[in-house]
Amino acid sequence: MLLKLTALTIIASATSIVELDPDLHPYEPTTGVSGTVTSMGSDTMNNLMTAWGDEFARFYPAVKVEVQGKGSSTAPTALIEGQALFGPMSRRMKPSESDKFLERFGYEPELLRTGVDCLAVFVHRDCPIDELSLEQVEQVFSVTGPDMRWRDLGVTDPAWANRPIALYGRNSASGTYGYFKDLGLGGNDFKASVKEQPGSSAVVQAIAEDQYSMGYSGIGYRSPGVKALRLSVDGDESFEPSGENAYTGDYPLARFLYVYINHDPREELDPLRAEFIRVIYSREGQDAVLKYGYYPLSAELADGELERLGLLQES
Amino acid sequence: MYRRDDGIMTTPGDEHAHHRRRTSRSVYLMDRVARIVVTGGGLAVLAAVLGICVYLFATVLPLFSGGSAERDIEPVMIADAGDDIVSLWADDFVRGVLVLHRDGRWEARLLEDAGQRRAGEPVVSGVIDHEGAPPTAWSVSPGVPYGAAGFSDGSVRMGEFGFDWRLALPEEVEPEMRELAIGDAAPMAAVGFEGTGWVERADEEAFRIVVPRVEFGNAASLGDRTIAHLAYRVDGRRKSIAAVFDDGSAEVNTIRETRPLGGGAPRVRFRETPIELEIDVQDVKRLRVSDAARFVYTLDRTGELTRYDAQAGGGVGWSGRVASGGDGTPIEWLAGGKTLLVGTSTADASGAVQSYASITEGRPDNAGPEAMTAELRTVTDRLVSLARSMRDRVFAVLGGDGRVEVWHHTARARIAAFDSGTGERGRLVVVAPRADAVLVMDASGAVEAWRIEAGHAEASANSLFGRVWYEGQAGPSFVYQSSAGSDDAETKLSITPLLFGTIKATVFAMLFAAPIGVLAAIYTSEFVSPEVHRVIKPSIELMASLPSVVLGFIAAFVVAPFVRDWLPAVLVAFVTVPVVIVIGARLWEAMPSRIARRFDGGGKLVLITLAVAVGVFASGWTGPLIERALFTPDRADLLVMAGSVRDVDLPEPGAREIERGRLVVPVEPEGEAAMQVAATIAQGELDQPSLEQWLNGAFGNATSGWMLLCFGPALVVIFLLERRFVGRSTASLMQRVGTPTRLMVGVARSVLLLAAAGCVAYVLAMVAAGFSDPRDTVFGPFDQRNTLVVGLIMGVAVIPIIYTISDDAMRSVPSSLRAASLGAGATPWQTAVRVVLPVAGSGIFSACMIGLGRAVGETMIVLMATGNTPEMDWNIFSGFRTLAANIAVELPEAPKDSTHYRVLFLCGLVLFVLTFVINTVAELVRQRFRKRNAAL
Repeated sequence: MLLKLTALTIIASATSIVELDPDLHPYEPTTGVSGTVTSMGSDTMNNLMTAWGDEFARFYPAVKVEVQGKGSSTAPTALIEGQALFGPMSRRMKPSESDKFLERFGYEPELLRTGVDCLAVFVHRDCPIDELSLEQVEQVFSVTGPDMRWRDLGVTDPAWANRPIALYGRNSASGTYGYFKDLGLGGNDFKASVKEQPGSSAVVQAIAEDQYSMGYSGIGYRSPGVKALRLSVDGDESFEPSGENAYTGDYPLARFLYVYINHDPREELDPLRAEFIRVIYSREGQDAVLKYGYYPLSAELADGELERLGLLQES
Repeated sequence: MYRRDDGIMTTPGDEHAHHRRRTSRSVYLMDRVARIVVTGGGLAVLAAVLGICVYLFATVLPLFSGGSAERDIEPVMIADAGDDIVSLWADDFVRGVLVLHRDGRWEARLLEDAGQRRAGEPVVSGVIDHEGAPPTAWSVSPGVPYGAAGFSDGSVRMGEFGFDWRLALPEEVEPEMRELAIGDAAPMAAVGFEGTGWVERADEEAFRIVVPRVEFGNAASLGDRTIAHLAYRVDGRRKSIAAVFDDGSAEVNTIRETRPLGGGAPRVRFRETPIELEIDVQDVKRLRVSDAARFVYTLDRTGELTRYDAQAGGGVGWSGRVASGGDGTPIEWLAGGKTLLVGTSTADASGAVQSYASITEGRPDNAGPEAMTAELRTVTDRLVSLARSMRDRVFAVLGGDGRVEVWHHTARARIAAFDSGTGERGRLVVVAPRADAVLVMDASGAVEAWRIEAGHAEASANSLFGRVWYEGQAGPSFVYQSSAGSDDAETKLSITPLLFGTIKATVFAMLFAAPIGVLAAIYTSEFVSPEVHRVIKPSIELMASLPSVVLGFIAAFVVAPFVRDWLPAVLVAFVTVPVVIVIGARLWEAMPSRIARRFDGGGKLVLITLAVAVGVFASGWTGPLIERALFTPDRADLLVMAGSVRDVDLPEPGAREIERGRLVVPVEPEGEAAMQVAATIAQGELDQPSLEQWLNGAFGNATSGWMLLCFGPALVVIFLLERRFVGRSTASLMQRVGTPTRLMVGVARSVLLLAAAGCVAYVLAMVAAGFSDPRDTVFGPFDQRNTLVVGLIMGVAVIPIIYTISDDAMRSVPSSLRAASLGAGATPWQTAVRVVLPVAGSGIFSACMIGLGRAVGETMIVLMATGNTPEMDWNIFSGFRTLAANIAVELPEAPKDSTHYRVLFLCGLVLFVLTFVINTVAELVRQRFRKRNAAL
């Protein structure tokens, strides 16, 4: 494992492009899979769920796939009410959310780690700043800091220095919102002036149009109009949001992307969900992760998740 | 019409007519059916509205109902004596407890052993020691699933206390366990887990296997001194330790874990900082540490709470007397670890909980003073024990008289209170992991459990509508921030900012829409020919059919960027367009009547449109001019922006505050520095006029802003005054001169009036600037998604409604009134304003009220065109969040029947009440108008 990881790191640092772990198994379709795959939850993972759905539909043309992504906080509600089979989330479920699930079903929801993301702090591509410390991020976005101008971040360019930093973020249903509040702001409140956008792409789009602005979103929504900042913690070296830095854990806002399912531990998973999960952890599924700008899991992690659910096929 | 006995319908007139006709049965039938359908329909509508109202109330009411407590488990002996027990943990389902003794022994016991197989025996036990020696200091709290032990050789062991559990099928448990009743538990060696635990019957088909888990790591050394006091906490992947040694020295440590997402073991980083305490180690009674080991708190024998700043070398950051002192003063972090609760007693010896939080709001160093955010009076005796919930802002206190109270901190509300019956022997209170039960232990080692139904504890009348002092803030405030990614964040549910946003949006939209809508109605109903009217009215009504989501889209992506680019012109247009129209009217007056007559009707409309176009063009032209005249930074502004300043301590002439608490005076640079400043100014084009920069507070003073604000009103007043005192006498004079002269005089008069208005505005601005800066009220920092944009676009949505109803109201005024007025020699304008308008007043008023109702409930435009920022200021250039938009944004994430869900319904109810009140007022006013006009 260690060797494998090192090899991966070397490739990544040489080209700065993450590659798929060659040990990931290609997906082998079976028979007897039918029904409708429904998913409700994270907007960050909307692209990803759709891509897995397309992949799944390619193997099983009779299966229908419906993906809704209004924000991670909608996933627990949907799972509890039985409105969806899969609840993609870009943060972990809160204990208070899993309590509600537990009250209803008597067991806890099953957590699957499906990919790796860097929550990036974006600025306009012409912005003179390249890096920030997490402490500065907290000051900019949270109520602990004053209303900031660009000069407060050390910008001397007079065209920028005196302008206030316009702030964009996600709506409160979003897991990105919660995760950023927790890790980026040290649990402090967002400033009331952070404009809440309904989706990850809306955040990036707003930053690209509003030159003197800053915002946060999943790295998968990076566009040519914006630039992702390097981040540092505790005065250490700063790291750019990349697959390599997410894998080592050096980038401070790296996170897993999760999918929750309602799986009674006393029963076996039905073929529809079992095969969908196998697709997620297959070479094809992890390739989709890469294609949409996120970072794939290592084969060991992927197999580990499959094994936990009893879905690992001996090959 | 009445009905005769023979079923023949007659009217009085044809009583004696020869011609009689029998009404067919089907007509009666239809009549009856119609009556039933109409009555039924009416009743159904009423019932539906009433039903919605009742449903809203029914959903919202539980928010305000209190919680309850009920005894679940009678006292059970878990130890020979309670005094030697340092802490207790209950499992998720409150069937058993983990007990930790002072000497490091721990054991897990079932509270009710259904099998009675090992009654009195612990299910599993162990010991936390270091090379056989017991700990000298503990950092454990009841219910908190982590803790640390310090030893005499300076080493520390950190670990976790808790329970693992899973569901099991009947065939997985021992046969005799299958006889257990639901909810009963019995000890067994668990399957599939390492270790021993118990089996609990969850329901008919399922069992839970619960295994107590106490996992302590290897010892880490903090030196070779005996640890006297220890404070340890875990915040996500960061651990903080503070230790006070018996020689009086102290230090803090942080342990930060980096988790490689690619796989592999986490990497750990230590940071160690020695600090100096000001008090003797013997006097320290309690030690606590804040997140990231920033602050260390000591509570001493006398009740003095002192905060040391580890980053500033351990100096005293703050101290204050909080408690009456004594050994028993309980002190505990609230969930989230930002508020320190101190159980104390008041002068009359009853209990009280004081909560302390450091102010971080607006403090980049996060080291504001400690503030007492609340003092909650309990009805207990002095407080013996205090326990927090791991889930929310709930805590429980145990008084010296055995009374237990459960509180919600944010709501400042008591959820439940009960008398545990332990009397003065009560020692420890514990909140169960899911905050659904409270355990109480007494000095004899007996434990009892109470079920707690918290209800919707975080919502109270105060937390929903009032100001609350949230942790970290400088004072009580209205905040709405309902969600977070973890349970550590304090939920802030004040809907006041949302109500404010709703009112702000409505006011600005109506300021724009009401005058335009009503004036347009006056124009089309009184001044244009029926043919033109027939074209205009449907086209305006067509505007109403535009979906508001389309309008919102246009507002966000077309209007908002446009307004930013053309800000001065947009503001100036509010003055230039009316002015150009009035000047146009003056010119029209001067026109010879035969030319004027030729353009009457449709032609006039084209001319008016032309005037509006000229007004818009004029604003595009004058906007930048006015910006240049009023909002160009002067030399002092430039120096400040270029950074050529000198700090001063006291206000002096020319001094200005550029940051909170930083006063500077601009300094004229010399030599090299002058070149540099000039280069900076040139590079950043700082000397360019910019209204946006002025709004953002980068430079300038209040006068120019007041000028901008005062000019419009001043112009209106000057116009009216001129009309009243000069206009009439000159009118007759004008009749005698030729057209060219009249034209020239008309233009000259308008120019003079404009100049006069400018002078008046300047004087007003100078006076007003002496009192305040408009940037603190209606003006302020510019945000691209702002109220002005929403006001404009929402105006577009509301205008058609106001217009069409007002127009109908005015056209229904009997034409006899109009004819009488015109016949008596009044002009059409006089007729419209003094005759038609008062009669149609009720209709116009309802038009405005219906428009208001629409604006209050408007969702999509607001949702898309503002940032949905729950701010509370009247700044027209900042955003807001309305009740309706809030419901739309947050409903998908709110689990059914959760507090959040009910709060959103409360938003709906408030909205409902708001529109209900508006409509009722509208109806009452209409009734009065109608009564007055009944004679007509």
